[in-house]
Amino acid sequence: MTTQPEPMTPQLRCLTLIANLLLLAGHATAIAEDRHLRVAINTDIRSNNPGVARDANTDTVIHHIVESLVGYGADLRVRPVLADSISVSDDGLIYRFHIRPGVRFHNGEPLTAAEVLWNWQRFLDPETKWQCRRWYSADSEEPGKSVIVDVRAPQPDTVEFELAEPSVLFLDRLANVQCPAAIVHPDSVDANGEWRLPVGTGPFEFSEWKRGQYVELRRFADYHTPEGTPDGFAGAKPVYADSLRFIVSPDHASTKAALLGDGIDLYPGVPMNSLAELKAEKDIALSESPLLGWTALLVQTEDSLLSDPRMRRAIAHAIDREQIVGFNTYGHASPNSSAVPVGDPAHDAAHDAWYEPSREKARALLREAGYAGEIIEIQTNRKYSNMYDNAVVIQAMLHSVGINARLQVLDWASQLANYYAGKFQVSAFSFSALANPTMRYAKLIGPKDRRATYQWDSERANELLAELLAADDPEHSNTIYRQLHEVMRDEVPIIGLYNAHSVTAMRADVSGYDSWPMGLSRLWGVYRPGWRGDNH
Amino acid sequence: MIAFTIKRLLQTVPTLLLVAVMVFTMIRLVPGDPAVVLVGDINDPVILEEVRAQMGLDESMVEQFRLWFVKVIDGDLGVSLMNGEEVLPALLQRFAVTAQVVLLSMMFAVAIALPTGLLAASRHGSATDTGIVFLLVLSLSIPSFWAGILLMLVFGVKLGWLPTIGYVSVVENVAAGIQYLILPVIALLLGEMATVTRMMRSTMLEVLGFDYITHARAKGLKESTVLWRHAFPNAFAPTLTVLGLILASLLGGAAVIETVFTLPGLGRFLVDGIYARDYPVVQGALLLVAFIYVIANLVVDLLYPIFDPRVRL
Repeated sequence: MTTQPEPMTPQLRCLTLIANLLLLAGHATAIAEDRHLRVAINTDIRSNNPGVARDANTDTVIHHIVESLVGYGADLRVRPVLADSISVSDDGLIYRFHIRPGVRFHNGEPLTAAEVLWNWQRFLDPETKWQCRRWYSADSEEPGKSVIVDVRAPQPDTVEFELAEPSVLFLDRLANVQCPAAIVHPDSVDANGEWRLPVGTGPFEFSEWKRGQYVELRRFADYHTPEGTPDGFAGAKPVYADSLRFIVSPDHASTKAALLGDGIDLYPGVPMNSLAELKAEKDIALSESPLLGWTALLVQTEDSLLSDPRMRRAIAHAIDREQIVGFNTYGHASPNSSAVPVGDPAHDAAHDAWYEPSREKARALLREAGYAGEIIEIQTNRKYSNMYDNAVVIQAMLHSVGINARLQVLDWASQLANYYAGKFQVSAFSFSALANPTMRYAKLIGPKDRRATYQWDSERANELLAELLAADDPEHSNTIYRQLHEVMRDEVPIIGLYNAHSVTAMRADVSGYDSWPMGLSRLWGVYRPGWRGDNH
Repeated sequence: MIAFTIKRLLQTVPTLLLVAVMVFTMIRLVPGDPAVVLVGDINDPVILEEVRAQMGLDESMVEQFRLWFVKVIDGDLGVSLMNGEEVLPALLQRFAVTAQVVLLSMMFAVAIALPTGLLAASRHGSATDTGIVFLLVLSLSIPSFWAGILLMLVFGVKLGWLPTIGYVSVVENVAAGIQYLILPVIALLLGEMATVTRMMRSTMLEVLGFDYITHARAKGLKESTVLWRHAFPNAFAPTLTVLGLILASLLGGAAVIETVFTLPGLGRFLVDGIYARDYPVVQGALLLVAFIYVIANLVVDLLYPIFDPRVRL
């Protein structure tokens, strides 16, 4: 005998329908996640126009879409990317790039010298608002600028740049990650020359941007990868994921929960205080690397109190950098007061020389300088917790030697505005990554009456910078770096603390991801089990 | 009522005008410069000045206000300084997200809070009342962001039933959209529910002490009739005012919940705008928030006579 099922009540029917719909949604999500990587970014991107409206997240996304003639390798040396060879004339004025054959834009068009010329006309046009035009323009006051006199195409696959004078920074500038000289197809702009979207040559093409939510890129099927092995922004770029989704997730706790709950696959920029917890999770893997960004304490040498180098030396003696690095990076970095980053081949023992922490010496210097308990304000912000934490500890360290230090907690926009105006006594700050130490020194050294962002305005430093900008031999540059650090140690225009450390957390089954000193994530070469070994 | 409505709507014009002037002035009094935020630390003061000029920030404040206000009258709130997005469509999109979460949580909160408040008041001093009050205090003591993260850890991470972060519009995919809304709605609901229950309980206690309630009971009416037909309408009127205020404040942006669950709502948009000194976004969003407050209060005022016949519009 069989029993008939009881008829469903309307409420039960409704619940069943909802459950089925939710299951279907889950199924749809599972399908969509096939060869799909989800990466957290903490703020939305600014634009998809390379080098025009940008921040670090924008740079991360854009480097998957566009490429330049050259790029930084993993060793932070400039390598060809869209070019396959580079030659420089004996007088250092002509740079010739041979374009790698087979490269196509996302619209299927081949890359030729004509597109490179079109891009450079666009870069150098003030209307483009390209942020780094000043590096190449005759009308800028940029120190050691690489003024381009002409860009020409002697052959369809060759581009020549003629400079006004030799420039040791020209290739580094072309490879710069914040202002990539990205070669895009003219279809990237509309008939009026207004920006549409990036039609680049990179391994992924732009797909969708839901503002405030995510940016989605899809694999460029006709991508022509350089030969060799993956190497920073240069080298081979094997692509295993069909699509990338950069999800905007501003809250660290939520991002961590999303990673643990398999809501995202990669979480770059994990706060160091979450490291131990994530290390203990069996489903999570970590990738770590020292970074080029430099965390420092800016000291206003124009300030009536701090213009006395003895005061600045006293502050340097009061600060225990080991302690600061220890708590801020959980022992993952070492102190660095040199503008040459730890890990750079030019960073040798000479760059480790700095003031040892000594309360006695600090107090003696303060007495010598006639310090009478005047207030010294340390500017900081809460947006970047490392800057805030540094400021709090430094305040305590200064107090311990008798300096009346006070915190001035601003929001980041205000602190940055003060940095531009030179309106601070002491400021807990971090500089963006720059691969070439010469660029770092060029950013730090110069006359403050012309640019308040120069932190170091001294005759000796200016002379050494001029020499550095003319040095075309790496050994000569290294010698000048050492001299500059020696002078920096003597004059203390800035107190470098450490180069930051980057950690990316990812689901344990994600492979092929490597953190690197530039800090920006690279998702080519990243795969999950089963993604390799077929037509990819 | 029509005359009242028209009069109230007309009153919004000077209110919004005042808000426009205040918002425009105050955001510029805050130190910081959108051009600085945009160029970060990689650039130089020359470029900074160029960017300021492109943003129109080199004009006098009066001229900047004039240019902005003329556009506002035309229904153009300008474009975001940070990413070039048109502000008005962006605000409406973000508001739609916030409204979904807030209205759903409000609906459930009211559905739970009213009978709970009524039950607690009707059993004043009993174990049920004490239990309800304890839960109310507990709910009010839990910050919404903490509740959000806790829910995420339990239902998203441990049980894996619901997505942790992200958003799918219910217009695009109903089922997935609902999945993404469940946790934020619950996180928001806890505080709202407790506030409304507490309000309902206290006003109900007051009303239950009135003579006409004693009279109704003396007539032999059923307790449920006394509570729902006689006591509830009078007790609900003050609760309605609180509901209006909660609704307006949440519609103006549930920024914390939106940040925790990465919902692209109005609150997060406004907070991001403030941090970036994105003047057009902040100005537009605050105008919209002011408008929401005005409309929410108007709706409450229009509903008031339904529950309290002593009120005449």
